[in-house]
Amino acid sequence: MIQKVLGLFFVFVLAPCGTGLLFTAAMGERGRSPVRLYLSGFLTELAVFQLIAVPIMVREPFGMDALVIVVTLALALLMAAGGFTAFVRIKKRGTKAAAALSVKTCAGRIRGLTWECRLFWLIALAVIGFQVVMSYLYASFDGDDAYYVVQSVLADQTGVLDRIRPYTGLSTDLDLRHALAALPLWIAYVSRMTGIHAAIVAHTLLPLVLIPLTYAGYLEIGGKLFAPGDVRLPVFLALAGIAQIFGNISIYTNATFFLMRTWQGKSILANLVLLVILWLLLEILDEKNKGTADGFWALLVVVNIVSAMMTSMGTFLAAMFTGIAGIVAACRQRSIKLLFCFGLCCLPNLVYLVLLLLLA
Amino acid sequence: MLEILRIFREYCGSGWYPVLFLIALVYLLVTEKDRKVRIVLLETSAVIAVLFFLPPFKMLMDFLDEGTYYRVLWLLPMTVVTVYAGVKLIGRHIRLGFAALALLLMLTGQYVYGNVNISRAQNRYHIPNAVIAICNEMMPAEDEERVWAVFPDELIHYVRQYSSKIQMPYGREMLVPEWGWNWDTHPIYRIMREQPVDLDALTPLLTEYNCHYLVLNRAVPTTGSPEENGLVKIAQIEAYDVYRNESVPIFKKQAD
Repeated sequence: MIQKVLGLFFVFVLAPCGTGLLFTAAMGERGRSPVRLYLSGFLTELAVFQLIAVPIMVREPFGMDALVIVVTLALALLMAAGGFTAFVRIKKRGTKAAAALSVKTCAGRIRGLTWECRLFWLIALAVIGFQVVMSYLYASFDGDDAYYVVQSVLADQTGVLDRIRPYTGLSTDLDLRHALAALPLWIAYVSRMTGIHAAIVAHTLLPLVLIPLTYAGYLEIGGKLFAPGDVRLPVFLALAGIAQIFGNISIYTNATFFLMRTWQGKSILANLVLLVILWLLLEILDEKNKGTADGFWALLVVVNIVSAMMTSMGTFLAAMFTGIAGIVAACRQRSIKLLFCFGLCCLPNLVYLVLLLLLA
Repeated sequence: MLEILRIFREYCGSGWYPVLFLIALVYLLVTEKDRKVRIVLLETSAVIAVLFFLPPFKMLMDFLDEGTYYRVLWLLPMTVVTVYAGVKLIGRHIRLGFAALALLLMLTGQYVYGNVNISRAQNRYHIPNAVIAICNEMMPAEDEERVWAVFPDELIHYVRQYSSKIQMPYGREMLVPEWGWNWDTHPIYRIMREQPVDLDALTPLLTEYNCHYLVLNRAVPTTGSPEENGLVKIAQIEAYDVYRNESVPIFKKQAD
């Protein structure tokens, strides 16, 4: 029980919040919020895992123990760095620097809302909460779990990284096309850290985190479309939630993947990752953020690395999305510099794509 | 081009969301003034939508990963654009507008929790209780090597999600006819998929493939006697009988 609590606290609270502190300073005054702190920290945790997991997985067939140690140390270091930057900021500027993240500020914001606005926030939260509860109470069958969830179970229970055929248990060579997307290994990492079975982590635990986190992406996008305190923001969020619940028009849609395969990389790519890229594009191209967009650029690079972790083609889709938006923006704003910056953000994707084409 | 249209039609399925998205996109392209919103949500979406319908673009995507072209449609922010357009359209009539939009989304979509593949979870693994009980029955002891077992089709997906200590001579690859490369190629599966299951023909193969256990659905008829074929029933769990093939010994782990 103690391992479960400590492991969960480290993976889902300490590491994301500590790491997220690295970004809040670079997102400008307006950019600081608990949601952004967590979102950026969680994505950085995944990106760090991907960068460490791929070389270990390629070099060490029995590398799960090493992977757990190296990733935990790296996250602890990032957490410490985040904590240190926050400490320095508070030392320099006093508690004002952390004001945006305080409970008092958040409570103040709620008090400033109209009753109608509060009612729609409650509706939005109920729509999201309904999906979270359903993800726990209901099981969704998907054939791909026989591959991806079993990869996590294998890494956790045998310590072997991607060298066992999930369907049968026979030994095999490294299947790089699938292995370059390291999400199943991250699930195994969570399983090792918490002592919770990998199937429970994937099917029951992850939706509890990923569903609210995806709505954090919608929230940030809504924040760029509507003014703070505008009643239309919770209305937007509630309707987006309803669109997900009724989005099962075919087996291919983002919404179907979101609520029926929440724990799979394809689903995280189609929902969380692409939504965060959309939000970051809105932030980067916002005139009001001129001079304070460094944090958003950095997070865009991070998200592009995370896209490679989700599915082998994720890296290409994320790069394509960023690239097309970058080209459109550069043309409309007549800025070569903008195009160059967007190109730089896609460099990790390019590296992964080359690896994929050469090795897989 | 016809292939692309087919993919688009299949993506649209039984709902109207992509149509709502296209209407919303046109509406916002006409009315939206905010430059960043136009670039990110509207013009980028328009470019992606056009690219999706171009055959050379499909050829490029097929070169990179065949069979997943529909994923390009994931890049269209359908929910964000549709809902944003809706919220803009209702203006100040928030309450009535919200109810109308919610109703529109419900009527033009499909309720995800009504899907046949979603059912009440029996446990936190989200794996059928029967699978867990059967696996626990055949789980090797700490000092024993992993075991091999043959399961009926409906359990195959779940077994190894529960335990890596239970191996199978064939798995999901036998259940997907579209994967022509290995469909129907395993001799044990050729017998297991028939009704009735011929135990006289199956048991020698179980021994040849070193399978320690056989699980049969009681609703599926069999020919031949389990006992005469050396199969000992060790458990009856829900709809399934679990047999031990005594011709194959379970080995102890060798000390390192």
